[in-house]
Amino acid sequence: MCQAGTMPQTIAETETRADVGLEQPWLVLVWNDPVNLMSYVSYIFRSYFGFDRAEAERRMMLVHTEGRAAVAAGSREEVERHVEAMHDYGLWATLQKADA
Amino acid sequence: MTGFSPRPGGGYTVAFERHEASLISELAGQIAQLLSPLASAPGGELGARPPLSEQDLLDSLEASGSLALHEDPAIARLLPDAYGDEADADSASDFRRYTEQGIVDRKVANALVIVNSLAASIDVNMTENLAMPMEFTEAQAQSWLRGLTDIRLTIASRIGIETEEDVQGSNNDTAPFLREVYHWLGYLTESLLSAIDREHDEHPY
Repeated sequence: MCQAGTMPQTIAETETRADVGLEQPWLVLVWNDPVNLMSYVSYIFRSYFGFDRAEAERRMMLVHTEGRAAVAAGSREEVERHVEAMHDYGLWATLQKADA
Repeated sequence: MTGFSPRPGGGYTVAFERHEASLISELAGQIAQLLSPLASAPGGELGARPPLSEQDLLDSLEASGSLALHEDPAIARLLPDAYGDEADADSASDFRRYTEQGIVDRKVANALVIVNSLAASIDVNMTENLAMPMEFTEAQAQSWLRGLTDIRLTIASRIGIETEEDVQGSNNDTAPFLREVYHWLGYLTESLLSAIDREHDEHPY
């Protein structure tokens, strides 16, 4: 019969081991370029990534002012698909490890 | 030209004068020609692909295509590196080998949608200066949006637009007509985005 007092410790240890085993997340970076319209970048962030209008504008302005912004995270495969989609749109995007 | 507007039943309308339609069609055709050597069926006549042979199908299963950024800066901008870090050169090369042809095929298809959808407008019997209205579906509008972007990216590369400052131009412009076209296509793209926005205010994404 398990004792209630020991259960939470066991779960916490399991969660930690599982976290260490997970693939490190990757990020999609969208880079600023002088050609693409701010309205176009904002539109892509809304229609492809599903951000609401305010959040899409905010991220677009980050790209514009900072030179690039992270717009999504996921496994390498997921993020590669996003980058491919961005290149379909004519945006310049790259992927990198989240802690790079 | 009158800009893009959403149609009540879905899709969009726009009206081009014959010389405007000819210009856009010519530019879109050039994008298709620029990229078709990199497409999955190189060397074939545009729009007239040979039937898929067993060898074609086998070929398409293998990764093929470039390993690195293209030498032509316009093509390099249309097909940029996916990994920014030089340490990831192998990953960048793999990504390119597996995705480039698909991206090229879709870009060529978008350019051909523009050419084909304008073909009816470029009627030799059309009165000059009369703007002929055309209708587009949602799918065609997406092709136009991406195709116009590819045209603008290519023109920008050709006339040396590399920074925000370059966009304004100078008195030493070597290609003032191309620069005017570049800005006009930007205006056209804004018009299409605005129409898509109005359409989707009614029917959210």
